[in-house]
Amino acid sequence: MKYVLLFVGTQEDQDRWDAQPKEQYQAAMAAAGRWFGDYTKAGKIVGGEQLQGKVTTVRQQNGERVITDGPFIETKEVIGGFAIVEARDLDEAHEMAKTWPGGPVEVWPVVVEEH
Amino acid sequence: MKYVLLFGGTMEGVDQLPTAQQQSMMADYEKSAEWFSKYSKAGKVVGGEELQGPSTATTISRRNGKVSVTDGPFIESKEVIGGFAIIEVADLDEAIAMAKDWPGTVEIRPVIDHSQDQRA
Repeated sequence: MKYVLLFVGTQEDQDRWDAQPKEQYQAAMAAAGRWFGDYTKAGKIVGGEQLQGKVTTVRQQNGERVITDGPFIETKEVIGGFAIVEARDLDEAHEMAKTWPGGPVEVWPVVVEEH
Repeated sequence: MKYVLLFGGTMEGVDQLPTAQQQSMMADYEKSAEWFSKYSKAGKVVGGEELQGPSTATTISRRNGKVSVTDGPFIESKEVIGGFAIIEVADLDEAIAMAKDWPGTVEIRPVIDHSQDQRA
């Protein structure tokens, strides 16, 4: 089963993360890097990205495409990145999410295309 | 440059909607499949997934050292992410041009390049 783990948090979490002292920031990044590295080697992670904070939104309005700065999801929470994981079941995806060294993780099952 | 396009909207609950709306959503759904196929062939889309509906999502969070598992997304919003594409394009303008071609709302996020990281 394929799942997507979304690494999420509040904007305050994100600001706190960005404002960490350099050494602490590097240690946290290293822990996240190890998490990715270990599960990638184990064949559990098949993709993933860390997102930058700069967001552009393209939406349709009266048949026109409108481009704005900032996210379309109006909320105080933000997505910092994601991992695409290949797990046996939801329990295994949860176990992986529990070992993530950062903030909250949303676990989403993926739609499987039938060809 | 690598970007992630986050797509708004979900097909969850589509069968509960009035027929006309269902048909329009199904038409957009087909257009989105064509979008993926066209840009994958062109080498612009290098990854992507369609997520199942928000009712299938769970959230793992930690509070005071305790890990908890709750049903539903962490992000409280009436908008939901239905899927995403990882794209490889020249710049933001090209990403915007692709997003304009998508039959719905798209959030464009540049990606942090970790390709040179040591993850041994």
